[in-house]
Amino acid sequence: MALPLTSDLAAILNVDEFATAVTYDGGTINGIFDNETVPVEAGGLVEVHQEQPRLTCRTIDVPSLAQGNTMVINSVTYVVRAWVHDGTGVTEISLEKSA
Amino acid sequence: MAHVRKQIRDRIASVLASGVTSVSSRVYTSRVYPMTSADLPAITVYIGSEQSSLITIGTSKKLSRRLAINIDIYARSTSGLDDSIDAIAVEVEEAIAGDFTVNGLAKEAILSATNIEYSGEAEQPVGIARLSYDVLYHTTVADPSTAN
Repeated sequence: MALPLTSDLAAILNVDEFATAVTYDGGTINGIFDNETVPVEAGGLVEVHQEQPRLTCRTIDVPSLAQGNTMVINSVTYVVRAWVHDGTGVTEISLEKSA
Repeated sequence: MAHVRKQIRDRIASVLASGVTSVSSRVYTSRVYPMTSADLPAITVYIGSEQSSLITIGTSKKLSRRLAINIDIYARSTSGLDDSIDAIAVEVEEAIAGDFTVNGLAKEAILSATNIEYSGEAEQPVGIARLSYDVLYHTTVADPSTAN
């Protein structure tokens, strides 16, 4: 029996459940927004703690994803920098907070 | 009185705090706790290592000490990060060159290496440049708190 992944995703990526509405490419998509604080190491004696904004969404909602695309999440503008398609219909996007 | 090494570190931090205007006095000595985006740009100053050798003998034995001081420049920017780092490095190098003997505590303070690294793993790119200085100073063996 096939896993009900499509319906599960629809439930998970509902703004009444875990998702947030994202303004993207002239429309709105839903995704789970994480903004965890992480330690950044770039050679200094001390780390820099920064937020690490990421969006998890349906791959089908971002068919033309490109570096430099913008997304507005919770009134903050982010720039798409990298992404990973997991092969099951889910994409995780690494974002850069716009200056 | 404090060790000459501490006096040198404090003097360099003071010179950088007043001379590197682009970090708005965010100069920290021997900081070990993390910084946040709001803390940048900033500079940390700390002692790396010190080598010493005897240069005179007799009743007043004198040590020649070569102190490695690291000056780390922290910056973040969504564009031109390398330009920002280099602009701050200019201010640092000019400030140290303007106090070549570290207010008379040392014989010389020479830039020996610069290493720059970047990270783009979080919300905005961060760059850190390490300027390594060799500071030569002398003390007697018996009195490490007075520069000779």
